[in-house]
Amino acid sequence: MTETGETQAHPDADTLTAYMEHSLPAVESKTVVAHLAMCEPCREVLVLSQAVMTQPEAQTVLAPVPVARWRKLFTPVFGAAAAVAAMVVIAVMVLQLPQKNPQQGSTGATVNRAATQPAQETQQAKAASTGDQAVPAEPKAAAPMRQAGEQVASTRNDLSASAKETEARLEDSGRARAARKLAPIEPTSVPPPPPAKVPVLTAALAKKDYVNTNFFNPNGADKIVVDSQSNNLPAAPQPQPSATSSAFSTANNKITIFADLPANTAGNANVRLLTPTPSQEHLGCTVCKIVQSTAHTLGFHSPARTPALRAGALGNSALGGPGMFSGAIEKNQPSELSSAPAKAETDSLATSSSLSAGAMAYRSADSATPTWKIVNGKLMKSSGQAQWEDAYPIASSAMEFSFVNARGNDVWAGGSHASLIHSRDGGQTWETIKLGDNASGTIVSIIAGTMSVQVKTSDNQTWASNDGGKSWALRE
Amino acid sequence: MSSGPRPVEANALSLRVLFEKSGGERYGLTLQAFGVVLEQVAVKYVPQASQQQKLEFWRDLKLEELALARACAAGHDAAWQAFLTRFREKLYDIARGITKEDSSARDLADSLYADLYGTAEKEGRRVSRLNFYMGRGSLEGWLRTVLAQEFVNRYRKTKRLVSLEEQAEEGVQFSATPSSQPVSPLDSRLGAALDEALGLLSGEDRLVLASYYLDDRTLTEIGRMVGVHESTISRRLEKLLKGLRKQVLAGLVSRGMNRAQAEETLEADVRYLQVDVTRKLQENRPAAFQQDKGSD
Repeated sequence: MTETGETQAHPDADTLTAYMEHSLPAVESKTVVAHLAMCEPCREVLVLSQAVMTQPEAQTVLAPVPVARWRKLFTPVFGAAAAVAAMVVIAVMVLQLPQKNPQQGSTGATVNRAATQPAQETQQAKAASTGDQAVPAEPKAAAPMRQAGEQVASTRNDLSASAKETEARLEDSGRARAARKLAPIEPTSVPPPPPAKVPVLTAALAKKDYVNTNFFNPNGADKIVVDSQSNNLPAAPQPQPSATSSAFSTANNKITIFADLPANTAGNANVRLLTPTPSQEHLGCTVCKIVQSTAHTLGFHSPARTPALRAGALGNSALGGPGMFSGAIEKNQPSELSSAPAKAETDSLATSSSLSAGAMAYRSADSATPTWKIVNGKLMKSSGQAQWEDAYPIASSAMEFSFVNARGNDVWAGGSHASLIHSRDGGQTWETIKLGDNASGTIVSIIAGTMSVQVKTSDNQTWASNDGGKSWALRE
Repeated sequence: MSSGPRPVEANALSLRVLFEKSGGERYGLTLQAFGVVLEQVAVKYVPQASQQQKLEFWRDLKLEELALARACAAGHDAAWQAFLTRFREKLYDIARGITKEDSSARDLADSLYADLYGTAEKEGRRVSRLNFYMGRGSLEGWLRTVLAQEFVNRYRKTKRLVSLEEQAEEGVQFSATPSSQPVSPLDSRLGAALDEALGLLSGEDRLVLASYYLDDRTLTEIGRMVGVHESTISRRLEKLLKGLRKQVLAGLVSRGMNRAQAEETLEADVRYLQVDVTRKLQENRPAAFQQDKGSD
């Protein structure tokens, strides 16, 4: 179709489409434009069809152009958000800075409160523990325990009375008699019997013993000193000369001291076995750490915070150490350490050959911890029952004691002329330790560990032993 | 060459290449039938061209869509399947875009689909409107244009049946009875000067002026028609008005007016003028908008 002068035919659909798609030759396109300028229907057709055609184009134009990821960060929204965030940060800083010190103070107070709260609770628990039920497995024994504990904690007379009572019970106990028969060497060295219904010594206590307050305070200032006016108990066992070189017998794999453990007359798990003194590898265990931290938290080393003694604990050990038998300690004990029945433990320990003699010694030592002091050159021992006795009443001995170091039942005492004695069983048997030949002077200091012992004399001699006192060496 | 469609004899190799490019074989079209179609197209648009010019003209055609449309018109099922798959829904979308209303769009698309399929018969043969697709533009664009033409024809038919009351409501004013008074010399000189000025405009400028002032098209629509940005249309309109004023002033001056009189004439109220710019602008306007249906 051509447009020639006066001939004004409409361009066909193909031509219009080609014009719209810009695929017409220039000359033909000019002809179409000239026709469109004059033909309103063709213009309308063009507009209608183009409107439809431009729809997808418009969509294409409106399609989001790919933008680099980092450029998306610089959107107005991001800017506004960043500004708001900055304002918030500034506001927080402005508000926080002036209140920082008071807040810190309050936080510290809170922390102190939080810190003191458990302590208070501990104190309360400690106070309540004298009458509280420590082990859920012993509900029936709660009331007697509470009463007995209160009595012991209140007065010394009650203390001794309770001890006598427990002693009487032990006398009546056939189980105790049987146990006594198992002790062939020391039939008279009956360990202090515990009351049958009282749970007592725990791992914490054993740890406490291991710490050895005497080690740090040789004068025993934080010890409870009980006068011996109400001394109704039998005298302390006398040292056996025949046993000076052997603190205990391991014949037949039977430990005398363990054989003398009191009977569990009630048949309940009232009597606890002492946890052995931790060995070197045992020191690192979690339980010991907890117990140790508990002991430190309770402040056992402080004389002002000496807790009340429990009658049951006292009866069990027959000797009372300061703050050693607190119910709070027992309360904090892991149950696996304190829930074993005494009878089974006793039997198994008495017949077991798997335990080493040293471990046995530690167990027995922990069961009765006396208190030691030097009075007028005499070595005095208190069993915690308000009486002091001469711990080394050997007539032939003219020793004048000057220093004593007790670590549980492991007692070292020294005196004039560099004389030194050692007991592994709390003073029941003694062995004379001979330092070097040239040892001289009065012993002024004894530092005793598990196996290493160090002794200082007034002549500035320092003797050391690494094998528990068998051999000694002079140190300069 | 204008003696009617006949198979292309020369450049058979090139024709085969075009046929392969069109993919008419898969629509059931033969090389011979495709050659006849190409010859039809050449006769319509480049009747005087040489064989080489025809080949170049054919290469610019939408050969694939041309083969599809003609295969459909020939009644090949494969071609119809392909056509329906590609354009059935699109046809409705295009109609909806034109009519802005769903039911009339479906009516419009269905009527065109009937024409495309060929409901009418001519000499015992079904006549499909796809036979008029020549492949100069895309088949989709052709369908749009055909739909728009069909819509405009329908609108004009119905517009003739609109009552006078409705036209009055639409604000259509009827011209008064032609005045018996003779046209003033002022108006005759102004009209002559205006005709001269408009006659100097290019076809595109006249298209822009007509679309903007007569059709009330937006700058965006005019820009799409002309193929430039709407801002360009805006600047061009401003420039056109300044140029027209200048040309009319010059025409008035050349027709015996001084400058002041010419400017005074241009500032006269248009209501007192009897110059028919529309007539001048759309001179030689076609009387009817008849489709090229059956033109070949």
